[in-house]
Amino acid sequence: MDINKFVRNFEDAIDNVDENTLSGESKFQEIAEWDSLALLSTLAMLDSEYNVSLSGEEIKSCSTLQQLFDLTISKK
Amino acid sequence: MKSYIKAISYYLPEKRLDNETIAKEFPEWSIEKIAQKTGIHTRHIADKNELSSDLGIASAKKLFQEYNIDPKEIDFVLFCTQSPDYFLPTTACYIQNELGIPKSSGAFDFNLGCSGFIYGLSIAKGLIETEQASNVLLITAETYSKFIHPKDKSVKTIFGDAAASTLVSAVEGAENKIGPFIFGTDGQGGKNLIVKAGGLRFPKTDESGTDFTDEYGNVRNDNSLFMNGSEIFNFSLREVPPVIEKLYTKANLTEKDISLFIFHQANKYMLDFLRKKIKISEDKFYEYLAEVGNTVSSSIPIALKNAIIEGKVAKNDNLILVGFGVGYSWGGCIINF
Repeated sequence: MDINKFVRNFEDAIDNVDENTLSGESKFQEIAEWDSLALLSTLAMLDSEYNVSLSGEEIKSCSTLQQLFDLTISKK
Repeated sequence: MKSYIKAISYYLPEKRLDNETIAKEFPEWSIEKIAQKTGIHTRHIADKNELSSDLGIASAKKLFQEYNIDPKEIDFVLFCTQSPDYFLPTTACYIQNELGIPKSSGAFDFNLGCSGFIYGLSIAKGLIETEQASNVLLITAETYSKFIHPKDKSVKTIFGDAAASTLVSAVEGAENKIGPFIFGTDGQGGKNLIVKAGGLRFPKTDESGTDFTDEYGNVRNDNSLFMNGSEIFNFSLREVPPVIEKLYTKANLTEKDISLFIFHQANKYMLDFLRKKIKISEDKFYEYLAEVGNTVSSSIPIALKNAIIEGKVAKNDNLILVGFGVGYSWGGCIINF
């Protein structure tokens, strides 16, 4: 599992986010497309791609995609 | 003695709330995106003076007319709602009188949301197969619109008002037409789908009626419906797939023995995700919510009725029904047509 694949999965999951526009350093909650539906899409992606269930609060406690990735790995 | 679903009719209030109207109310917001995710275009909304009892009675009258059933044949009324007329008396008693159902019949309410139809079938089966009743009128009716804050788009776009009447009747024979059942409950999730104030724990006060705005710009107060969408989504992903597995085991069936799956019509996004997760083929997974929205306890009977109308249910077909939501409460069953 690597961070680049994780970022691509995230870009894939969120509507209207183009591929290769984000990185591990991206503050995902600050992008224009981030809303309550994006949160659901992130939960769905974590479930289907990583078989990990995070709460909405846990996701929102992360600032960057790298932090979200680290949290996901820790739950595997 | 066995029980079976003899008839289903449903009633939708006349007033509609379509996406175009919602788009005008929230001009800064993309309703197209929401419509694509939820799969909902229109919801029906009860009039100011139209209660869940009224919707329920209207659905029962439709059932009597459509199937030529005499209300005198009914010997039990089950009324499932979370929006009753009063704390007391029981709404089912009011309905018995309004429909001209005999005084010799039993009647009670039960308070469940999205799992309510499954529970209703279970209670009806129990009453009939222990020979306590022969014709159980199961009414599911909900008016969540009365709990929804006009400025809370998170729930306004999802829920629609409706009622369904299902007649569960006795039939001679040994073949199981309803069941087996699987149930589940997790009261820890109660806070994630709730109308907090207005009961006895938190009576309505000036404070409970004070509006606040959440992080996504939705306005509500403690008298109105709150849904934590991400937690409800996680709950459904966690609890629904095992219900299917347990039903297969309990009934000694596999996916290929099931001709149609009808889940509580929560929203299209969640339904499609669950379908893929459980690996149910698309042609066996029935969805009906574009014109009605999420109608809580009536979503399964409304979908089932439309599946029958569309010719998707044949005699002797096995169907899996699953309801899940507020409580948390969930339940699933197999029915044989």
